[in-house]
Amino acid sequence: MALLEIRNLHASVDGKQILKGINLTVNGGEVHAIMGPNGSGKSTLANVLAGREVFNVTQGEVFYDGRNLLEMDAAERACAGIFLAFQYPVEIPGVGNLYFLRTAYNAIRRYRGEEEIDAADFLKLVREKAALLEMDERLLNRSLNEGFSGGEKKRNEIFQMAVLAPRLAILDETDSGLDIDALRIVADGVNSQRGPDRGVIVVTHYQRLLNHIVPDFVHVLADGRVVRSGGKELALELEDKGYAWVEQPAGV
Amino acid sequence: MATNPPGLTGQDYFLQATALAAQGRGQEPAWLGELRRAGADAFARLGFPTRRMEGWRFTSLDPLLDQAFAPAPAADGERAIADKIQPYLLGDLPAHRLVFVNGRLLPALSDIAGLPAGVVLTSLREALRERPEEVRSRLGRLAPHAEHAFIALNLALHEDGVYLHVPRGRQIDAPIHLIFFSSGEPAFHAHIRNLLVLDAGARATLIESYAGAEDHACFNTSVAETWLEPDAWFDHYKLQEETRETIHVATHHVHQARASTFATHTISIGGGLIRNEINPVLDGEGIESTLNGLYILDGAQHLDNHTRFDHARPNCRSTQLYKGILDDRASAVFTGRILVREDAQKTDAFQQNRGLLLSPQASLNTQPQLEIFADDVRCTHGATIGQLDPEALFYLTTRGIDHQAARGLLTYAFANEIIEQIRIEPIHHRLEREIIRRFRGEEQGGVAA
Repeated sequence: MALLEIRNLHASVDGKQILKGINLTVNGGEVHAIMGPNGSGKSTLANVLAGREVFNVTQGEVFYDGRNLLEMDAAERACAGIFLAFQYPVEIPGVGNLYFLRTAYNAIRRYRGEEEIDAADFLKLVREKAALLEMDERLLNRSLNEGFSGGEKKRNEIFQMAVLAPRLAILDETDSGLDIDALRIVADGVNSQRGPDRGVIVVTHYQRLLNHIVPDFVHVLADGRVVRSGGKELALELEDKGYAWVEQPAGV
Repeated sequence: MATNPPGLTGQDYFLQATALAAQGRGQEPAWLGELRRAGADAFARLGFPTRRMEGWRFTSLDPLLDQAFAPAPAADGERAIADKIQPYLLGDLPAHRLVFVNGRLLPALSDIAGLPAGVVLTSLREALRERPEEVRSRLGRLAPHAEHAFIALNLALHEDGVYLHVPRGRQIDAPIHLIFFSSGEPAFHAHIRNLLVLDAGARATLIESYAGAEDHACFNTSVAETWLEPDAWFDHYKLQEETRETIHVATHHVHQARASTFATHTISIGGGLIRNEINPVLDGEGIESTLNGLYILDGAQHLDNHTRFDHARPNCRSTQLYKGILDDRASAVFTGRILVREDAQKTDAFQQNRGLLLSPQASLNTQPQLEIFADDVRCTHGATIGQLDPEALFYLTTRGIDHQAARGLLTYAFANEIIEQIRIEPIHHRLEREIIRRFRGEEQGGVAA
């Protein structure tokens, strides 16, 4: 069974059609890159999968691990193992980073019928993952993303991902705002999460992140449709020729 | 709610009650009888305020005027009361504790052992017997009964309250915890009068808890007069957890002398119709004064917070931060008046009122009123009213936290700016529990940020 199967997905916002029939299958162990020009619908796709309600799914189906994903709300999707690393992580003053993360971690464990983790064990887990991502531990004790730099916010997203260990990670423009060192660290964090039953969708405008997170498949979105799919070499070809090349697909 | 006995309602009843009180009480000093008479006369002249009056436009007193009240009944047995007040002891917080039931001290449940030498903490009635001249020199001097109906009513009718005197340089380490508990039928009224005096350099922390047992109707007034002499330090908390049938009108008058520090935190969770007035007079240089407020209301609760800072001298700083969370049809009013007199140069005054409306029927009226007669001052004020941030809600839910819990977490975060300034740890826990109870429907451990 595929980990994720998207069939003919259409979605709109404020009456404007953004996704116009997406088909995509992600199997366990695979990394898929979604590329495309601005406004092609990449971020919309990532957000629809995570359950953002401002987007209206008007047609199509999405199955996650054989379950109808569109019938699940955002929290249930997360509990079932879907994780969205945000393009613009929101600052939430007054909610402690670690407290928030433990609440999330335990919500997921309760959903799976597992016992909640105690504070000491959780701290151990968090320290380990923070070291992996070279996170400044002081950030853990601050309010969620409050006053974080752009790079710190992105790193915090991947840190959360590492702690929550999702089955399907969706990275929405995670590379934007990262310098080359941070990019490598974040990519290492993502790569450490790869596994035979886990999938990753990397949404990105640029090829450079894909030097570090090497995809099995690359899909190019234009105007709400997948206009081209291929292997990792497609990303290099795109880098070379630019998006204008794919926006007029062959045969049209 | 109990069925009311036939009888006078509202204004007529209280005119009669105050007139009766004006005849004086046998065992009291004559001067107090005169004060009661002055209160009764002022009330007869003023009557209860109406919405046509400035300062009362958004608060209707109909619930007070429409029902009959009786004098406060005697308290239940000590054991019954001990059980009932248990939830309000703040988890057995070590404190010097005085328990008042229906406006009268219940000595058996009070414990004020271990106070530093020279500190007087007692009931006002006791103080009137033991040190009448001390009380006489202060009582009624700060609260202007001639221009405020509820102060007048309280002056005429007050039964008891607290008298605190901390002598020069003395510090009380453990907080003083006053519990004002209401219990009994039929609908009754009780009036509390507190007189708090901190001499030069004295330090104290005081918590007032207002609570009630059954959903009986009751009407309480509370008038407090606080004197802070030079360099005194006073940290004050008011926790309102009364029943939804309670009408509570309180005024707190604070006279601050040079370099004194005052902070009060008004936490309103319970009550049906609440009016809180706090009026600090900054009558010396180098004074710090902080008014914080947090209210968490739902159902048909109505809360009216009214503050008035009187900056009378130069180089003082006043800070006001009020935050409210309103659900259902709850309504709140914030009126913050800052008077900066001609002499009060270099005044630094800050005022913020922020409301979080969780329902389309909830409402918040906010009115900053600045009167500035000095030219070299800094006065800032602001008000915001909003809803929970949908972006933040979505973010939390994408991590597996369900919608209700995410609302609870964000609501707590909103309140946290006030909560983290509270120095009494058990009050944090109390507020965490309350927010969790209201927004999560179950308890799931702490919500510390």
